[in-house]
Amino acid sequence: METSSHDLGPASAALGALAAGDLGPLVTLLSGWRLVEDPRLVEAAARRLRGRDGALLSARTLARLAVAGARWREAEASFEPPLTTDAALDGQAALAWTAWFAEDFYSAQPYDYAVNQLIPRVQAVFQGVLSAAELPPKARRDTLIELGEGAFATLLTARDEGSLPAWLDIATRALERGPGGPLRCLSLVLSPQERASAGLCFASRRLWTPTLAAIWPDDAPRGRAARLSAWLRDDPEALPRITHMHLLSRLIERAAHAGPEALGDAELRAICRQNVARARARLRATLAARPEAVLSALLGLDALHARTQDAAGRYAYAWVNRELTFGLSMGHAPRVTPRCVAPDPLPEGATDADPAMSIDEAKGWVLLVIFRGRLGHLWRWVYDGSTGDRDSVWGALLKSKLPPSLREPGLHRPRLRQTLRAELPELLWELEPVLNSWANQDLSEPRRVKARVLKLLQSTAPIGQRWPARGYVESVQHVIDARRQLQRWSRHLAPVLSSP
Amino acid sequence: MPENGISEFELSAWLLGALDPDRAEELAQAVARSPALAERARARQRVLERLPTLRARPMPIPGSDWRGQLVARRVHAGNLGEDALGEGLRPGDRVELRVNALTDPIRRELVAMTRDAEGRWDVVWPEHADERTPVEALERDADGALKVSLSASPTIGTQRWLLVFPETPWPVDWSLPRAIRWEQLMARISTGAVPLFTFELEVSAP
Repeated sequence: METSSHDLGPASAALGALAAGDLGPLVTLLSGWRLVEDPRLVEAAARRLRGRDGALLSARTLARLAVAGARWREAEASFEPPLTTDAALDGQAALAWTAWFAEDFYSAQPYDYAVNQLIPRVQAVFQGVLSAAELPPKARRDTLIELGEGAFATLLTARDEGSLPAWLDIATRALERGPGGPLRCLSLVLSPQERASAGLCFASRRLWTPTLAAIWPDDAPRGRAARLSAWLRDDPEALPRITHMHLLSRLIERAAHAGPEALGDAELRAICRQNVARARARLRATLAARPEAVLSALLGLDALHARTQDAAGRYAYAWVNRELTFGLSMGHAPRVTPRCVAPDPLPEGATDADPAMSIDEAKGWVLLVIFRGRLGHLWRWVYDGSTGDRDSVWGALLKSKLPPSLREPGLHRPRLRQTLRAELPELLWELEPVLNSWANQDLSEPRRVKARVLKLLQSTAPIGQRWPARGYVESVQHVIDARRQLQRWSRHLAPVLSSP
Repeated sequence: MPENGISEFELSAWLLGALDPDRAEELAQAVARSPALAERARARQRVLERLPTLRARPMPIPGSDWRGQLVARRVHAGNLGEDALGEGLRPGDRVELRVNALTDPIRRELVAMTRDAEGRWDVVWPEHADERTPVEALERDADGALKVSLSASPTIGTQRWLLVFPETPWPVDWSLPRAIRWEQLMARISTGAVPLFTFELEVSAP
C-alpha cells in the first residue's frame, strides 16, 4: 500500500511538533505501537527518529511507521478471538497434558489422545505441506514411512539435548493465543526471573543495540542490559511494549538502509513477524525450562483441545519447513525450537564499538561462502550443527578461510556458530543489495566479470579480506542460486525459523 | 516465484489451518483478491483431500543409530538395495541379512516382526519360549556382522519387517494372547532404547 501525499499531513505535523519538543502528535500518530503506553519509550522513539546526524527522518517514512504499528496491532489481535470449546475433548486434552508432563505416555488415556488427536493433526500438516515439495519418490516415501512409524516417538518420547521435546514445544505454542498476542501471553506466564533473563538475552543481540541505545542513551551496553533486565523483571507488560519499540527501531533501520519505498505492507509485516518470531521462540524456550509453569498455565485455559490442535498444526508447519530445509534428515527428535542458552555476560567496560565478534568480518566471510556456492552448507551448519556431507570446499571455508576475528580453537567453531545462529538471517538480509548487484552481472563479457564482482565485494567486506583468484563467472550462478534460496527462506521459512 | 509471493507450501499450511492467525488472515485476503490464487488454492485442496491417512501407532524411532547399518543380502540371485530387498521373492523364500555387530556390552536377543494388515507390528519370531535367540547364538561373517536368516511371509506385495534386539531375557508372559504379549517391548521400543532396524521385502505371487 502506498502512502499518498495526502496521508503525509499528520506525519509532517508530528515531525514539526517533535522538532519543537512536543511529543503529543507523535504519540497520536504512533498509537498503533504499544510503546506509546510508556512515556520512556515515547522519548526513546523520538530519539530513534533522528539519524546519526541529528536530522529527523522523512514524513513519508514516519507515515509508513505509523501504518506499520496499526497493521502489527491488527496482527497481534488476530491471536485473540476465543477458540471453540468442547467439554469432552477439552477434558481429554487436560488429562493427556497432565500425563505427558509427568512423562506418562503409555497409560490408556494419554496414549489414546496422542494416537487419535495429536499425532494425526501433526501428520496431516506435515504430509500436506510435504505434498507441495518436488521430491524424488523414494525420499517422499521414506519420509512418510518415518512420519507414520516414528510419529509417536518423535512427538512424545524422543529427546534431544539441544531442542525442546516436541510435546513441550507444542505446549508452549498453545499458550500463545490470547489478549495482546503471543509475546504478551508468554510474558504473563514467565516468572520475574525468567523475564529478567530474557532481557539479558535480548541485550546480548547486536540488533537490539540501537533500540536500547535509544532508550538509555547515556548508558554503556552492560548498564543497558541490567536496566532492561530489571524493567522486564518488574513489569510483565513491559516486554510487548519494548518489543514494539524494537520493531519500530528495526523498521527505521530498514528505511535508512533501503529507503521508505522498502517499507511496503508485505515487507513491514515480514520484518515484524520475523523479529517477533525470534523473540517468541526465545520466550518459549525460556518458559519450557519450567514445565510445571507451562502445565499450570495450560490447564488454566479454555478450549484446550482446540488450542492443542492449533499449536500442533503450527508446530508441524515449523517442523516440516525445517526438514525441507535440511534435506528431510528426520532425526530421531525434531529440532524445531532450540533450548534457551544463557548468553555470555557482557564484559565490564564493553562499548557499542567492540562487539565480541566482528560482524563486518563475518559478513565478508559469508560473501566468500556464497562465492563458493556453499550457502546451503552454511545454513545447515549453523542451524543443524552439521552439513550432512564431507564437502572439502566447505571444510576449507571453515578452516583456512576464516578471517582473524572469527578464528577460535577447535574445528567446531562454537562461538562463530552461536553468533551466526542469532545473526545470520539479518546478516543475509543486510547483504541483499550486494547479492542483487552480484547476481545481475552481465556475463556476455566474462573477462570483465572478475573486476566488477571484485570491486563489489571489496566495497562490502572489510579491508584485508582475501578473495579467490578465479571462479568469478561461476560465482554469479552461485549467487543466483543463493538468492533463490533466500527468497524461499525469507518468504516461507523466516517467520517460523527460531533462534536460540 | 509464485504470484503474491505465496508458495505452495504456505498455501497448504493455510488450507490446513497451520499458519499463525495473522498470516492466515493475510492469505485469506490474498485469495479473496486474486482469482488465480483462489484457483491454486482449490487445486491444492484437491491434492490434500487425496492424501492417505498415515499410521499413528508407536513405532520405531526414525533416524535411530541402527538405521543404515543394515547390510542385506538375499540368498537368491539378484542385486539387493539397502532397504528394499530386490524383486522376485516368493512367500517362504529364505532371505539372509547381515547386521552390523552390536557394540554395547548388554546381552541381547533377536525379535522379528512384520506389519499386519491393520498396520500393527506382529511378532513372528519367537513365537514360543523355546525359539528365543540370543545374539550370541547368531552366526557371524568374516567382518563380525551378525547373520540373520528369515523366510518371506505369505503376504503378497511389500512386506515391512522390523528386527529388534532387546536385552535378554526380555520378560514375556507366554500365556498372554499373542496380540498383547509384546506390548512392553513396543513401549520400550518407542523410548528409543532398543537397537532395531526396518526393511522391506517385495514378494510376488508364486
